[in-house]
Amino acid sequence: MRIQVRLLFNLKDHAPGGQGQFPLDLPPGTTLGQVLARLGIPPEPAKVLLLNGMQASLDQAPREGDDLVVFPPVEGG
Amino acid sequence: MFGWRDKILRVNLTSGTITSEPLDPALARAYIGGRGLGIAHLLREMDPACDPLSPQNLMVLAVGPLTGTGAPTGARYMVMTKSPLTGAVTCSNSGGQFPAALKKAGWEALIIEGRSPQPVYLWINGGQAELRPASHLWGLDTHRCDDALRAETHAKARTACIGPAGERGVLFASIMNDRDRAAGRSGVGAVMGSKNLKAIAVRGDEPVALHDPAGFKGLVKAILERFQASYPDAPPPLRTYGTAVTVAATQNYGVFPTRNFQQGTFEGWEQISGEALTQKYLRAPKACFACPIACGRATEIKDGPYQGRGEGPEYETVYAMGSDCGISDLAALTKANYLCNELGLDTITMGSTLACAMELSELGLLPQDEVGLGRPLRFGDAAALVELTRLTGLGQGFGQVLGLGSKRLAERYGRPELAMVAKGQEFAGYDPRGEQGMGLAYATSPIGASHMRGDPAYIELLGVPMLIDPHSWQDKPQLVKDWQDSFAVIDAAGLCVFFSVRNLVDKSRAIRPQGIMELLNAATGAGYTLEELCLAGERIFNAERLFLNRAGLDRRHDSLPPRITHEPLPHGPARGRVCHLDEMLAPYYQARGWDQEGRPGPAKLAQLGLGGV
Repeated sequence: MRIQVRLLFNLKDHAPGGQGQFPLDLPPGTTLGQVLARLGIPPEPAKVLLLNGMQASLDQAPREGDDLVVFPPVEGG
Repeated sequence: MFGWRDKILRVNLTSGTITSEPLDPALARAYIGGRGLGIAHLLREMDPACDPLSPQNLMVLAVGPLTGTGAPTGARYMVMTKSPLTGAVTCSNSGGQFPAALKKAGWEALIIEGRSPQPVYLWINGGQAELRPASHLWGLDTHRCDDALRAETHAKARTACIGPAGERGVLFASIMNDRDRAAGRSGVGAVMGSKNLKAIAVRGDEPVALHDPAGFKGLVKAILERFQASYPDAPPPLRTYGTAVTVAATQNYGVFPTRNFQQGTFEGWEQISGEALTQKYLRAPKACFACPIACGRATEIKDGPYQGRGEGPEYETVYAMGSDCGISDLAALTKANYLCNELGLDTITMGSTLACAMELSELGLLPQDEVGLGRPLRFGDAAALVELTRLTGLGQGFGQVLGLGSKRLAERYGRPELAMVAKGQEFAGYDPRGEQGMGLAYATSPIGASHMRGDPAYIELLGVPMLIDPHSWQDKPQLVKDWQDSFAVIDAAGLCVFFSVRNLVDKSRAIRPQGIMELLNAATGAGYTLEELCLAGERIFNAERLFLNRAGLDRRHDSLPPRITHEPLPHGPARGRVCHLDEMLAPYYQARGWDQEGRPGPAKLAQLGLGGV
């Protein structure tokens, strides 16, 4: 199963090759928490996870072709 | 007094008299300061129904009790007046160094009355103040005005001034301080221009006396240590990328307003993101007084047609002049930002008004010869953005029409519903169809569609201080009320929202201002309880609402354009959604203790001590 991952801001350091956007092959049933662990992204402080633009939780499992965006909490405006 | 300065400077421009008045300690305690002190004086001293560009309008420039004290981000001041753009109150906020200088000069607020018969500027040198002729400054842009003022007052003076836009009555003219910091929204610069007041120069270096200096110092140290510890791996994203860091977030949620809110995603977003800005044009991050974040952008475009040097762009500018105009040319929108700073214009309303003009033009409703570019005005025309921004700031050509803002522009060409405004104030850079709380916040903000009067994007999109579902609306009325009241406390205290929402509130969804209370009590000795401080925030918000009611605004004005409430977003993650304002408004009024016309009821007014005001 393959998903597309986009890591934003300083989380890019955890991307293979330092490129923020990359495909990732996963066994079916892998949770987002396991995805983060595999990429070496610490769970704390909690990250914003968007699966196809919708907020997602660490125990959720992506499906083939899903888009995952991960970023740390940020102020903005 | 501790924390607060014990006096206010009253300037009557009609008579040319300047008087020092004692700060009313009871009023200061009840309204905290800044935005609170401003509305307290406006309600007591002016007719909210007056013409905003007449001498009857009053301007209050107020710092907060934490401004200039060394409290982290205690750098802010508020400009409060009646807005010529909206007819509502405006509370336009800015940081930089000017507010701290005003505080250190010994003043808690300036109250500006009347209209000078000829251009003047106000020179405040510590406890001394005088009005000086300013005919020689009239017509200067804000940078040259700053240069001239420091040359003729003091090299270390800090200035706030209007540019040509404020002089010409552009309805969204800003007041620029420290050259590139803006009290941007709602046309405060036009009010200052109508009073023939070109500028204020301040020199102050008297430290603010604190009630418990050792306790205050300890609090600041602990807050800064916690702040540093929360970024163990890298500097805060706001420092690295500026506020344009938000582009990537709003784009990926599908709420990045594009082509006058016809879409919620922009194909050129990566070219105008915070990362692109940092890579291409950032010279250095820039901090306001006592700020550990440094989100300001000192930038330079070294070559090409848009060569220049200045500050910005912020996220809101990137949305308004970029995606909302269909423009992905970062150099062009940065240049247009520089022009706004120099001519004294609000970048948000400038970009949003142009986006409205572009849609009108593409619909065939805005004749090419009226715009005068020699080509049809279309989304994506970066050269038009730069040229029309210049013409608007100078009040020339089609710029005179754009200078009225998008509400009047859209009315003029027969399609008022195409103005993306609430109360005549242009939206910030979040499409409320994919962020329900923001829709309610836009509709009920006292100044119109501002995101800074209780910014739900933090909690709905950005994960600060936690994350909640942006698409639910049932839980938003109470949340928006709580956030609006807490933001009123932040603004009144003289602090920056960017820092406060993560570092100075409790862990609840209501973001109660626990850390602010501790700082205020150490600074002032006022002994606020948390409940008392929350009530003060609510008092400020309701006082502003009273002003609006008396200016003739009520439920009818708590509205959003039909595009937002009835036209689903066409694609992206928020595809198919609209903003459920109608469902949120009644429970919001109920949470506020207002009647269904949007008027605070007698019980609420009595609870807040606003019964006799």
